[in-house]
Amino acid sequence: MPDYGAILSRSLDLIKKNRWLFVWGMILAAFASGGSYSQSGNYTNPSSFESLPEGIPEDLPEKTSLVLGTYTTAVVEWFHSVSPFIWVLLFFVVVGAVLFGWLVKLIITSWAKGGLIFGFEKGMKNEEATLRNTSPVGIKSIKSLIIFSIIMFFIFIGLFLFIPGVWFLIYLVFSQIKVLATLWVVVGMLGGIILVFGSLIVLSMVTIYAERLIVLKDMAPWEAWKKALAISKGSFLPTLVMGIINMVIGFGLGCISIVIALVILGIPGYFLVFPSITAKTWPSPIIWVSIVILVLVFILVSVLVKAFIIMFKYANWNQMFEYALKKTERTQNE
Amino acid sequence: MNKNTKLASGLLRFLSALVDIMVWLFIFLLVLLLISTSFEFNDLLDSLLLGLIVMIVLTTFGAPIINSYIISKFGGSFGKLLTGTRIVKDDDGTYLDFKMAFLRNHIGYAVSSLMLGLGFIWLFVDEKRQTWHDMMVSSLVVVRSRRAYLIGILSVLLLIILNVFVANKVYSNIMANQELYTGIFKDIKSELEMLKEDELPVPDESLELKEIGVLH
Repeated sequence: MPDYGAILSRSLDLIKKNRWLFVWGMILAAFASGGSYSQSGNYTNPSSFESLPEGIPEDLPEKTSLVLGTYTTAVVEWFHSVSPFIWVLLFFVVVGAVLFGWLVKLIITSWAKGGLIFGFEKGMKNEEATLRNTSPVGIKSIKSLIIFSIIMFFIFIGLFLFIPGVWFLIYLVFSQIKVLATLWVVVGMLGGIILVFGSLIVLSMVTIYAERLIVLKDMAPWEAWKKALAISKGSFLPTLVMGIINMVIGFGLGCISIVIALVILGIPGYFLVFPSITAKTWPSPIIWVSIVILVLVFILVSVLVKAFIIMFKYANWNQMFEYALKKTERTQNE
Repeated sequence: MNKNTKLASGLLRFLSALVDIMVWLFIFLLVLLLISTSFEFNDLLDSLLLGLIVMIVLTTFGAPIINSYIISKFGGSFGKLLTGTRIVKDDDGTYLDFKMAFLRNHIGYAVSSLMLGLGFIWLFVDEKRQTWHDMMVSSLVVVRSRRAYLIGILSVLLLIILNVFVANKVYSNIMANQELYTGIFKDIKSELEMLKEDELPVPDESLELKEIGVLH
């Protein structure tokens, strides 16, 4: 098993000595979705519960249609008068814009991943990693990383169609015998959940190693996928432990940073807004500007902390990749 | 790059960015002008629909493609060309290709905007006057014509005058069509008020509780 303590302290050292890599970290913090850590929470707005109507008129539907009737009629008539070609054009323009936006996001995150992975590799060889010398490798890796993301997307879709599909087919077979059907529901559900989680873990490992094979070893996406699967199988337990460590540290750091930010920024924010709330007046422009500044600072701090956590994980995974690759090659040579 | 190459200053780059902003603002105001010339409700809806399609196409595809093309062909955006500056590769001084121009201007700018535009401000501390988006694609912004900044200043002034003129025209059209907009707004408002007046009264809970002797 690798020395996890040494990996973690080396990662901190790499981040300290290669501060330019923060740019890549911030890009991934700002544009990449998901991961084991997310700082944004879903807040329910308490005021939405205060405005429930006390009584609903019985003739509301008729009244509503009268209010909307004048303009909905005019809009509906206009809608029918417009050529269908224009609506089709609008549809394709909107879909095109959404797809373009998604592609730009893929490009920017792939570029950043490539730059960050290569940057830490340079750092591990005691070479200086800057935006200038890591960006070209990031650009070179964009296409392969995007193709790899598409491969993984289809594998995930296939998995989430295949497993429930098989479950359902077996259920159909057993459905004639009630006892078997009930047994299958329980056993099949449990087995399915374990299979899904297990697959997700393996695929996450494959993603981590394949990205590094693409960026550092210049492998083609599908070749990288196959080799990454072999590496994941050979180093399953050490990789799982590293993943758990990353998750725990990321979650812990994230929670602590939110609490600190809320205390440092939330308390002044509360004292700025509280007098206006008690006096039931609109806050003055200066208060508004101060609140906006506090919110901006909170967002910036959140992005910086998230960037640090991402960089820390990437540095850990780069070292883990080095260990796992050597282990796989040793096994193959034996 | 030879030693005689003059790097563009922050002020010159800001001037070229201002020209670019004025050019795109002018296009946006033209779309608004189209919408503001509608005197009928149906015409207004037609103009809004057309304006929406034009704006989506321009902002999503038009601007990035046109901008990247002229940077790769001529060495700069409208603003850079008018201020006599060019975007060139760091190593050999040639223009960027289409792909690198796109990455620099439409992805690199987003990166430089992180941390409240720190990437843009970085040019003031970098020895090669490179912003983050310049570093990412290994580009430099150089001065090709030393007097051209005067053309840049003149362009900004002309574009400001043009934009103010078009904006004024949009405003006058809206004021001339005030009857249409206020008519629509008043009709919707009066129907909503009618709806509110016709609401059924809600029984007072405390009265009910007093009647049955629960409350005194």
